[in-house]
Amino acid sequence: MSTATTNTWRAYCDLVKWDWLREMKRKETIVTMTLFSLVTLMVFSFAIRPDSETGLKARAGILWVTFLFAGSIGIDRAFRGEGQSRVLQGLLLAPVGRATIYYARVTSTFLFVMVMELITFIAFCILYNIDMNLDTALKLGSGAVAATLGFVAAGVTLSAMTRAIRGGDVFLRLLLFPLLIPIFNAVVSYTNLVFNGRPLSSREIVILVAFDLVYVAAGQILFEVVVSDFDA
Amino acid sequence: MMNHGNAAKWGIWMLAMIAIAPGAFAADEDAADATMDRLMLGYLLVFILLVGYLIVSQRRNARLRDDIEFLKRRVDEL
Amino acid sequence: MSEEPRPETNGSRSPTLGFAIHGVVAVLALAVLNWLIATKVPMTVGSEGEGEMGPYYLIFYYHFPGAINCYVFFIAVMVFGILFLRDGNPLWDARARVAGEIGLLACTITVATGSTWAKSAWNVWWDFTDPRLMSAAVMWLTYAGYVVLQQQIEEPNKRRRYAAVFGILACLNVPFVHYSIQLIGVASHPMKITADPIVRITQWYGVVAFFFLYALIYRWKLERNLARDAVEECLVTVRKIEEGARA
Repeated sequence: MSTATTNTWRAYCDLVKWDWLREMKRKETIVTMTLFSLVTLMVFSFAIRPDSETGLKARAGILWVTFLFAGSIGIDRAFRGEGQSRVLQGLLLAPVGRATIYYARVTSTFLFVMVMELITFIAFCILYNIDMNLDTALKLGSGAVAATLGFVAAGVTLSAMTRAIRGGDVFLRLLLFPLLIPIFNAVVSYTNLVFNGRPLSSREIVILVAFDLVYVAAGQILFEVVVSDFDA
Repeated sequence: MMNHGNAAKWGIWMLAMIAIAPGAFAADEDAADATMDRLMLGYLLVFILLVGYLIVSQRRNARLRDDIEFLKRRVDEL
Repeated sequence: MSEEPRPETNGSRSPTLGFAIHGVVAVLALAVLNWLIATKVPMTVGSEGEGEMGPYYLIFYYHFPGAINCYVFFIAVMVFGILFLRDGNPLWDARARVAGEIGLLACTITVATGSTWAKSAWNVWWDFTDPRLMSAAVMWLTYAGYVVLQQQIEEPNKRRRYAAVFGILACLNVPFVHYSIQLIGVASHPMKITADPIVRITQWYGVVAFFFLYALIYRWKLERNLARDAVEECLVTVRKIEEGARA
């Protein structure tokens, strides 16, 4: 393969590693996301008792609402935060392709959100008294991976877009959540089927996969548009 | 951005749309028939008023637009 | 400046005439539609699996054109956005902005009439299982975000670019919304009407008739926005000149 491809791959790996190391220094994003998700779960437990019949029917939805709200914090932080605009400026000046920046940021944000989801899920299983076995865990995990990927792919582009707008954090959620409704719908339906031990239907999986493909592609192209003439 | 004129227009339009509800609740077929005729005439009146307003307002805007274009040209020359 | 005669541009008369003709055509088209609804169309209609629907179903002839037209305008938002990103002409963004507002208007009418229909037919203000109503609601939220985005960002270059980007993302989302809404469950109150030819003709004719009206409002709003932008430009240039004169 050409040097260009190896360089891109190496740049991508370096960027992801760098994001990860930056996060590991103070763990701001992961800690705040996870704490917020636990708080949300607790609030939900008071709104709908986990041991009630409604709680049983609503548990998949509650889990994913928690993931959505908490995950949006991580997505928001993808380009907003102290010094982030300098970071982005530096990246754009470096001889790295815009697409590489996008994919690297999607990957690192995805990893952060997955960490939050894993910890939250453990708390969720305790609160909602769910026994886990490997098969269920694998099915839930793959659904979560697919949904989170779509979530982050669209979110990173919108995060870059709203980083410099006044009130941008609110705008991010205002614009992102309606776009995510289809994939949210699909993953809640999928999670419900897994929880209730019913056979999986193809419709949810098709939506998850198709959404991911479309939004990673569109997200990458539009990300380049969004950062095209960069100004802080 | 939404000045009162705009809001009033959209408000009227919305109300007109919702006003179809009385016709919608008509149970008796004969009564519904007569109600429908009146409703459709009423709506037609609303459409005529709306379009009339748009045409008159657009004529005013077109003249303003000419003045603005003229101003722009003069300003650009300066 | 007061001595110079104001040049009467030739253009001022024909756009107004064209606009007026458009308006008259729209009114006539809607008059025909209303006449069809009042006289030609059946008072009750069968629907799949629901038995007969009484006269309240007639709201469908305003609901359906609203739904189709809102798609038309939302697709226009995406197309204009793509065209803007391609050549950078701000006129495309101006068109996209107005198309978004008109699409939102059509969507509001769709949701309002759909809700009224649900209330009169099944005594519920909302029906979660109706795909068209739910899709319209989701699209309403999406494009309300688009309209607010266009209004809130002040810097014009940023605003046009970001709006174009979001307009494209929002339109890409529409097929997903439709396909996924059906996950909610099989429609318990299907808003499907049996295919009587006069019903079909009227509903699709209604789409055309309402399109004339929506397009008229679109033109009107676009011209206003362009005039306002021109005024802004003048003011900016005048201020620059003043500052230059002062310096």
